[in-house]
Amino acid sequence: MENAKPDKETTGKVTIVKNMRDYSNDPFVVRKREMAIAFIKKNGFPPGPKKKKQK
Amino acid sequence: MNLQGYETFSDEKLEKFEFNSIGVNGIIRKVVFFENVGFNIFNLAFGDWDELNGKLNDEKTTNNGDRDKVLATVALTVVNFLRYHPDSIVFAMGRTNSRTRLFQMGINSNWYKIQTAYYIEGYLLGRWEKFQSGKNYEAFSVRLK
Repeated sequence: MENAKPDKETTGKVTIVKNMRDYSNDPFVVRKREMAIAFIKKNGFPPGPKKKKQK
Repeated sequence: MNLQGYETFSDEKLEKFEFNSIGVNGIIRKVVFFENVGFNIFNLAFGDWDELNGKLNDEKTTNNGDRDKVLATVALTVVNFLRYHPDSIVFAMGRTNSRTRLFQMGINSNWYKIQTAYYIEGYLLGRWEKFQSGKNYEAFSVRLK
């Protein structure tokens, strides 16, 4: 969890909670997941920054 | 980057975040959930927790008078998520155009702080492009630079 340690000054306070509620089967989350997958399938992945050609 | 947001509560993987919006209509619990939809792309789902029905929704407009602070908090969850998942891409798209514009407002209002550390793309008119402030995109992606 070292990477997850929040920097209070720049990212606000985050308190880690064990056994947080599982939202993965919530109808809203399921709908959003289906929308995202359909969108990405139809329109492709965001390509990211163009890599500069090396000389 | 110094955003003013609410304190958040997260699971150990920093994929689920909860926080309370505190405003004129009382306390409303908000949830931000990052879910892997394949190829290391995590879909951002953001909604209100409906205690009565025991489920999330984004259909209500809460008008709690703290929109900027809520948007800043959502932005901070993205910051924290990417800090723990540095090779991942966050994908965000609202259920409706107005919801997508809400994400856009969050990016726009913090754009000068965000652009130094994050690479953001928007989907518009059939293609992904580098995010430009002022355009109305259909979807967004965010990754670390």
